[in-house]
Amino acid sequence: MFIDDILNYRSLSIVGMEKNTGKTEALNYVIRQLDRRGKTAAVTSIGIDGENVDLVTHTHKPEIKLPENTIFITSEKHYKQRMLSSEILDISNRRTALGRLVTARVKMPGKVILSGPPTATWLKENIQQLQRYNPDITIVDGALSRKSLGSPAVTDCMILTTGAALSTHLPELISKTKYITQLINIEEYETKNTDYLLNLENGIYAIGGDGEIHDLKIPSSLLLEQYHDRLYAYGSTIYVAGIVTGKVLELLRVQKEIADTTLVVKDFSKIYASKENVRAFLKKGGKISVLLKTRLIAVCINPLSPSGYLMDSDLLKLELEKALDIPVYDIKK
Amino acid sequence: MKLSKSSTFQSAVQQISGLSFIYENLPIHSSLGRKKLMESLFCTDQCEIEETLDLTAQLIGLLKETQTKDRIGELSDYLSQFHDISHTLANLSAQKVLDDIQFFEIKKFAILTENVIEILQKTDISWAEFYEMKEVVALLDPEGRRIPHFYIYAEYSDEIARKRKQYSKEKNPDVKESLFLEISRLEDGVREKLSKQLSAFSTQLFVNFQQISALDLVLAKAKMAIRLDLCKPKIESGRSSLRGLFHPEVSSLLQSKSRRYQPVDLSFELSPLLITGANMSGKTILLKSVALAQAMLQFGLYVPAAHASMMLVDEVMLSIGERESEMSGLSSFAAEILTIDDIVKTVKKNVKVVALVDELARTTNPEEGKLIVKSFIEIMARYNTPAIVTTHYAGIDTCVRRLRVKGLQIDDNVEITAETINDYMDYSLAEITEDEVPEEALRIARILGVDEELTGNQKNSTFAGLKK
Repeated sequence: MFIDDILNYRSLSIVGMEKNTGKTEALNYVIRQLDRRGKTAAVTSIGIDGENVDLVTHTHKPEIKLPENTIFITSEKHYKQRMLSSEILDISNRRTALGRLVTARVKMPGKVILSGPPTATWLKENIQQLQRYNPDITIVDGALSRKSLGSPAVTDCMILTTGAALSTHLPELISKTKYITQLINIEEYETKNTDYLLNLENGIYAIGGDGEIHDLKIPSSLLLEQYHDRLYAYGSTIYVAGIVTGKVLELLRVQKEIADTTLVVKDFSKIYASKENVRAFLKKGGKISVLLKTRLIAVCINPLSPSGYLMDSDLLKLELEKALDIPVYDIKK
Repeated sequence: MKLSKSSTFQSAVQQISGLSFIYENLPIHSSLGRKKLMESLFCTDQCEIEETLDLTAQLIGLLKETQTKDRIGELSDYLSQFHDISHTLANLSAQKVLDDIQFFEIKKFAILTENVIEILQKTDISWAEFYEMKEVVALLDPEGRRIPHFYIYAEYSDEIARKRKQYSKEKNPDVKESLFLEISRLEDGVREKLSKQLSAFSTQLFVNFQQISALDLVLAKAKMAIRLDLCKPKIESGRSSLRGLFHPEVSSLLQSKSRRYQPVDLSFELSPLLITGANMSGKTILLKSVALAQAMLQFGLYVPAAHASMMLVDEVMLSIGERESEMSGLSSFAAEILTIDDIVKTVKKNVKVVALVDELARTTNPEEGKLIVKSFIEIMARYNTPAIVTTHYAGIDTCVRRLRVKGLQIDDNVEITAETINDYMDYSLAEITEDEVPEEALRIARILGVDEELTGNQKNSTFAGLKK
């Protein structure tokens, strides 16, 4: 079972490809299984930036069940709403949109809503800081969201959840899931300035041969067309700090330097382009690298769609395993 | 632009050139220390300033000594861990029931304060007004672990302890839930009781909170004084003497270009002072340095000089630069003359002012300009006001102390450029008796490489009458 595999890593993120693909169930399942093995988990979440506070507070955010001794980080707001007893270990100096972050240890098991830091570097620091309490593993409730500056890729390994909520048409479900796993496997870009680059929130930069960074002064990747003459001013390694859309890939693809171009992005979750766009980009000789890479260790499936359609779990598992070459589980079984 | 008793450090940063650089160089750890500084007022109380300066001196001594350096490092570590708990303390003194986050804050604050007190005692820092926090810690740390974690510990109530045991053994989810609610209710009871017990200490906590921010601030002042090579000013009445005065921001800028800043000696008493000097001879920076030193002194900081004895004033008034006129939409002359008028009116109310005026009336015609300078200086003399006025005007007919920036110290044959002009400029001041004004504008302009016709080569007859 993948639980034993997980314990080989220091940190794990669980990410859903779509709502209702069973991410919360998977998270609860992993935490429960670890508890049964007598292992202690530390859990936190990827935060969502300020403008989405209302979304966060008004929509239902799932509660996570935490066993005794689990260490968790959540915002002040969600800490106050906890349905468990816990000992506060630390409070951050910095604030998120939902208040400071509280680190606590569960004394009497129960439920809590997880929220976390809004940036990838802060999340990295938190994972680091949680080591102080000697957990057997740190788990991040991840998110694939355009709105999130955080990244599930800061963890050493990852579990992806997919299922009927994404598509009830088996070939499409498989193709979409496979595409994401391909993005997750994009190779890592090695540079001494990784942390600096991760902290940049937007803009387009060139990375020179010695790792030096030049701001190309292009305010947004949506304006690439207007500024394309600046693009190759400092070589052909281009870092896009925000998200990369299909449009960006199309624009780069038609440049004469495309065969030498390496496009660097924060992590796989920042690529918002269709499979076709990515394929066309690569076909012209362009390369894509990520600053943060994680290892996908398992895929969990939820064969039930929100509308009530139930896919054949065994078939789904079999076909996905064949296509992805990664263990696939239906944790409800 | 002026500083008076109602000016906070925050407002002074906007007004005094180079003060924001000072702020950036103050290694304050806690947000409370920063808040304390920003809210501190321009001080005119000699005892208060001297007390701060003495404490700074004491800490500098400890920072420089190897035996105590590590202790102070430890102190810095603790100070950096303090949070701003003013909101929690307000809740406490308002007799509200605190939540676990607030208990945690108070517990951490109390434990850290105990650590700080311990270090202060070990290093003999004469910092009196800390309240011991042992009782507060004891209330929030029934397990006696002295770790700043917080929980409604079982030690608070036997009933909670019993119910929790019951809860962990219980299998029936319905019973479990009702047990959870019951425990929560009991915990709330403990919170209420604890809040009440703690509120007895709210004044002490509040005082300590103030003291911690003050300590953080003084330690930062001491570290900055070492870093920027500042000196402890001596307070004197009726006389200021600044030896080796410098402007830290400009000095550090020059240093980053491997160039040297030439410090200047300047002293003045309760009478005006007229300074002349060529263009680019640093008159403006000199005035800014004096303003900065005066402001730093009266915010309880060491000053940028090698040696300083200084008078305290009620107000620092400046007329430097044209920034204000751009803001208010007035013409540069109108803005200037209104500032000058403000100085005159303030002085006539017998307020103790140091006035720093750069090139008074420079934007109007020299004949009238001279008259304005003369009458301003005479008013300042009549009211015994140290006013430092720079000017380019010759023929100001008044008996007042005059200084001249020595200026370019080479003959015409040496090749100098805009980059190297600094190396040949002597920025020091010399006493002069006559009304002499350097005529170096053309020479400086040539050095800067402006169009030859502008600076009077043979082709331009405009310059025929000029002696040089």
